[in-house]
Amino acid sequence: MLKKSGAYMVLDRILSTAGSLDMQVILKGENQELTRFAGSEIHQNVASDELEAEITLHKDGRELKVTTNDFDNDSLRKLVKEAGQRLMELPESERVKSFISEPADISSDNYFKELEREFNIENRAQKLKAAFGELDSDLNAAGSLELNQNFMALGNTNGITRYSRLDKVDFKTVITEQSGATGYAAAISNRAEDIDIGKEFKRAADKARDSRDAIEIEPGEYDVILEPAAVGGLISYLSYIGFSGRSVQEGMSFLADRLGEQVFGDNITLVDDCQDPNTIDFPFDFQGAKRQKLNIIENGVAKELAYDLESARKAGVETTGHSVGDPSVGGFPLHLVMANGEAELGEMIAGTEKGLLITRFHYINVINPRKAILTGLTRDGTFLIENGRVKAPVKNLRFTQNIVESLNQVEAISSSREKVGGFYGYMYLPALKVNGFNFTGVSK
Amino acid sequence: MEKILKELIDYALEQGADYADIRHIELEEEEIRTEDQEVQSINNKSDKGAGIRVLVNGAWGFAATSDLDNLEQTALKAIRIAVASSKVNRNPVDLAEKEVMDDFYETPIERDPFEVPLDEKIELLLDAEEKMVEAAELFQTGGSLSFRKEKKIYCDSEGSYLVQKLYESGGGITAKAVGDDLQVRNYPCGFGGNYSKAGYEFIEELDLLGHAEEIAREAEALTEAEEIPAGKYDLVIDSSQMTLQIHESIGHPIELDRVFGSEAAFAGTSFLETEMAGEFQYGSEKVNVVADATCPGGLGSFGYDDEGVPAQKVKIIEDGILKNFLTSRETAFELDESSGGAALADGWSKLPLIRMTNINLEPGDYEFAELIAGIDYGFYLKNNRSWSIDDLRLNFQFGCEIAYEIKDGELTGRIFKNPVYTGSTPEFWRSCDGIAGEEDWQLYGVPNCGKGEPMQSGHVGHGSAPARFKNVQIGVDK
Repeated sequence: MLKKSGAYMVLDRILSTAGSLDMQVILKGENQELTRFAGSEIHQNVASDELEAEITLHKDGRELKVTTNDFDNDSLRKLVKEAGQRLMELPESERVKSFISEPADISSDNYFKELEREFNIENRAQKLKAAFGELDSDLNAAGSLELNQNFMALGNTNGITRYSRLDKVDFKTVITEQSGATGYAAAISNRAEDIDIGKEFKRAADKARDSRDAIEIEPGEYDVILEPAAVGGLISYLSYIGFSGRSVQEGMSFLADRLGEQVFGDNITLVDDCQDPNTIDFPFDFQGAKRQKLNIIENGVAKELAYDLESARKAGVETTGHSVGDPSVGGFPLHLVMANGEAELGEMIAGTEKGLLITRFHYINVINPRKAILTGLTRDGTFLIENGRVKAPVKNLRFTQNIVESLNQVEAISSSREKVGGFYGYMYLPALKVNGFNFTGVSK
Repeated sequence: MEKILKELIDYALEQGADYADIRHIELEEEEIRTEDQEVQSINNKSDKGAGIRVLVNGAWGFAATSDLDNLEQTALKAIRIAVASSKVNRNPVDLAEKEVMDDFYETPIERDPFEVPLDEKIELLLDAEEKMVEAAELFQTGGSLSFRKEKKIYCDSEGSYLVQKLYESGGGITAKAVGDDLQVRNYPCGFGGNYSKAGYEFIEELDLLGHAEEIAREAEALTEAEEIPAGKYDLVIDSSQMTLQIHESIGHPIELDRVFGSEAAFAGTSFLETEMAGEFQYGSEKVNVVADATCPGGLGSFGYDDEGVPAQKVKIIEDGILKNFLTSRETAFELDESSGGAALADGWSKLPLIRMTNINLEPGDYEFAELIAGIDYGFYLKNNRSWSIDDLRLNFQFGCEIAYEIKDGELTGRIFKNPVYTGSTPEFWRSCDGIAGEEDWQLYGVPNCGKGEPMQSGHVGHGSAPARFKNVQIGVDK
């Protein structure tokens, strides 16, 4: 894994091939080690180390990108020369293409070195073996334990340099009871002390036992208590369809024409903040821009969107530093944090006359982005609540729901929050009690 | 290269591996996107590396590197991983027998897409966009082409040495129109178009220019169309949507690693069990499905899978009855069978998993007009827009781009927007009462089938003709 100085040397070597072209280089390195288990045995255990460079060239409004993992000097020179020739074959464009030029350096090479010690190959196997040993014989475990060490460095011919180290451990498990009932638990963090496999096994095992003899209930509207993993599924997709400047420009977003308006209940505040200690410190984006804090939703009012350079130029604003390297995405918030409330999960259950407690959702997809209508299914722990108590586990249900409506019907928000994996990195989210959630089918 | 790889296999055995295989891959990709009649992005990627898989004391270890000067260290890491796993596991892995092969396979192509001038490709997309813009009032237009060339060398400790050169070509165009909501029409199917194991001739055969005006006009018309009414209706589903229907509700449930629970915590398992083969009525007697890795042009076609097993055509469903699963050597051993040749990895850095090849619904004996003629009131649905299915692969819900009204056995010309239909897998397939014939049978490629951790993107194919289904729930959109 290249440290900052080593990465900058490789960047310099590639940038020296630019000649008269404007060039940006992103260097991505990843050592990924993932131990996968099922039936309380390790069935896939893998490691890979990868280093690749994405080289973007500009000239007269034209843009072309080449990616390589061959760092031989002659190969790099040949690659850039041929790419430069192809670049000039492109039609000229009036779209402005320029790389950023300030600040000169942004870097964050802090990472928690104990992650590698605690979660190396042998320790991952031993930790899982110990956890399997604690499981009762009527339970078996599936899941994965991943140590991911990676960095991204960026430089361009305007002289800027960037480096960020982004290590994390990602653990998830589904425990299955002999009747087929399942329970889920997960933990993700860049700090070793946050990952307690035994604790997560117990959490999932308790859910699996509580899920035995699930009853079938009729689809329809229910008040729901969504644990953070379930909230994460919905927020990930809302972010995917709606929080970027480009999605608003394209008319795909439920926030199109609604900036400055009250779109959610006034108890909903959602920010994107890479400085929040509960997210990963990734202070710049894939165009080298400094990542800004976004107040996306403030007390229910839609305030700020995520922009990359292209979508920002189109909107006549400054980039917010949220490029993910794909102009068709525009900006994308990677560090979502939802404000907590004051409720405890037990209080939410106690205050529910009839409703459902939902652990997580499966296979969410978008039915209508403009209306923020999503569909998906519950899985690994869904429970009927009656008269303030968990009455029985229920068979999985399909929801089809306008999530903007749902975020106007949040009755309670938990005081505690959890780190939840998203499309990239992880989010920091509370549990929510949402009234009138629409279920349209049952999984039989 | 052959000498280096064979020596590496020997080295792994000397260092304690009981079995070893290595895949060395060189990949080239090109992607061209246009939007609003301008080039939006040109991306070229070249990538090479090797992945080494070993068995030690019946446990797997896998390590991969892009540093080809570091292969011995990578082999040692794979062994270290396998040793760690073996101290946890109780049940050692066994592999089904296979024939030792020494062979070369190449995708048959007529025109190497990497030899086609860049300006020819860009011009095609911009011309198609121009036709769309001229045909209708649109909010946005776009187009994309993508190409892939992969040289894959496989070598194992049983003596197989296989070289494959695989080509892929794909493309499509998009028209977006805005009225009360945003409506999108794609050709030839949603999400970037259609893909094939083929050369540039595939792009020429797509005839993007010939279909540009139609989708532009339909996108515009959809903005004025009514929402499809909710209720239970008979449907004819076009091949472009059958692709996703087959993929999600047949292709994934028949993956034997899912049946065995390997994906339980992530992608989910399957409602199928091994005992159901030969017995279970998956669909009506009209339903015949094969897994065919030999299918010309199928995105899931190849010469050998990533365990060195030859491409095969396997009967999955015959006259509605489940017959077989998709298997690897490890899972086939559990059934005392030989591998069906469906172990594939997403590049050199990933471990082979059971993946779909081309899961094809075989053609029936209906004319398309006969399918329509058999419906008093219903809809003909085209092009996938969204998809979702539960973790057992039973309860599904799909959105399509457009619904054409069928009344008294004829297409009326009226269209409806935002069609969504839902059902449960066996009930749905048992309601299939007609499939169009060979002349309407089309192959579609899905280049982004997600499975596994680390996530792998599979390139799979599905062939189908339009098919008719009775009494399907439409319109759960709230």
